Amino acid sequence: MSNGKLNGKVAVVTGASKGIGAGIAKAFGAEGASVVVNYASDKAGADRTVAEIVKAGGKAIAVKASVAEEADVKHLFAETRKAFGKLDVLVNNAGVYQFAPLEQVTEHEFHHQFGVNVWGTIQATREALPLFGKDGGSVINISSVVSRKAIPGSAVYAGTKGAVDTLTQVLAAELGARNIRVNAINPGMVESEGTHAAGFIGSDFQKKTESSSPLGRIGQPRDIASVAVFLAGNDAGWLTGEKIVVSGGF
Amino acid sequence: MRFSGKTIVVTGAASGLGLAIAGAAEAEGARIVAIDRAQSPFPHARTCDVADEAQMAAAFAGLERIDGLVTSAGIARRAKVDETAMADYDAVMAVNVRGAFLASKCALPLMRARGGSVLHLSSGVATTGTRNRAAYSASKGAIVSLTLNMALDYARDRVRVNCLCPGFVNTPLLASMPPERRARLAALHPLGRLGEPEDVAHMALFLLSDHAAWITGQAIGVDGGFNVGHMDDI
Repeated sequence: MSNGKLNGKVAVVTGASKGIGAGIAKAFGAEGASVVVNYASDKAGADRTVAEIVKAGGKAIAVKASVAEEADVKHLFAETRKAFGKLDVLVNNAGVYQFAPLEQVTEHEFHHQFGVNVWGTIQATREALPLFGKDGGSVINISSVVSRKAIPGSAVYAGTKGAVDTLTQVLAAELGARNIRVNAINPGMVESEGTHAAGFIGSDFQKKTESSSPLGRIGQPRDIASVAVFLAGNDAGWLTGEKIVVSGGF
Repeated sequence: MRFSGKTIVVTGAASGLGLAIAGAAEAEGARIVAIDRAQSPFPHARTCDVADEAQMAAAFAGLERIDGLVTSAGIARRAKVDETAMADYDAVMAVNVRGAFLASKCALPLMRARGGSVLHLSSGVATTGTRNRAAYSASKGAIVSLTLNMALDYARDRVRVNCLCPGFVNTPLLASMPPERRARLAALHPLGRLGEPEDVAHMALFLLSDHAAWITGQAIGVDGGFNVGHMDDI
């Protein structure tokens, strides 16, 4: 897909060094957006994402920032302003997860996941606001199917994504008057560096997920990226407060 | 073009959202088979009552493949339960539920060989309480349930099934309202405006296309935020 659907737009994608974030950043670049590829630690991955966008004829820069850290987030949007002067699309994709039975859940892990997944989303959206112009913009929060489908061992992670769903609705209502649309994508299991590292790919968990997914397969980053392109573009101009489940029906 | 070589059947294609969706799909290369009780402005237009089994079978006769089905034929009646004439209830259910069910029944045998995409038109009122639309709300709730069932039953045939839940859209139905009531309706949407048929058509085409290849069984709002709550200052 490359129809120039996002020509002239500037997008920030958090956590875009790999996986779903990298897939979205590359799709945005291919559709004509200038992309800020944010990363927290994987500089090599972010540089690869940028290089692929540029090689395909697009514009992109990499900016290091942890979305949980206020100074970092301010830096991310200062760099965005410096490079591109404005913002049209923010994708809150940066996220962390760890599955564990309740007995092994620690306060530290709770704060870590809520810090990145929830506070990071709120903080990045807050800091992005001054950069959106009078035409408004599109905020896309990457949530998860776990917010509505209970998976044992996911209490903390699912809790963060439930919060993301809720704040998506609240911010849609709060920012609608400024024509800033806020939507969520709730992906099912997607093959990525993250799910490989977690040992999900090739596991019984993958097989179980696929056998209970109507479309019978896990997702690829491009399955999510095509939805993000739609939400980012003007075709979705009357869409706000939605949580779009992209999961093969899981 | 996204829909070159594809055949898409659209019920309710003579007006409103059905017309907008069919027109947009045709502009992107689709061959539209338009079904409506009124004459639709498409080369392959068939006039019939979507709730009549024999008429629908005739409308689908001769089709060899269907890549997409959009069930947009719908009618509305404004009344609460105790004020609803049962003839009105039956009419709403016949077009909105039986019509969508029957169109699916006719189309699925022609979709299963290659896979495809079914899109039902539900409504924001299916999941948000709205006054004075008892039969209409119930009919649109049924469409959400039908969507969930069909998504599961036909997934292994690679037929994806989703529905749209639009907010209040500028269609002929709304055009007749007094301006002051239209303004009140617009204010119910956080984005501050009524929808245009194109707003819904863009999402419909996205769901009909391969870009939505991993989306099935979903009820998706296209409603300017109507579903997240009202914008009155409280």
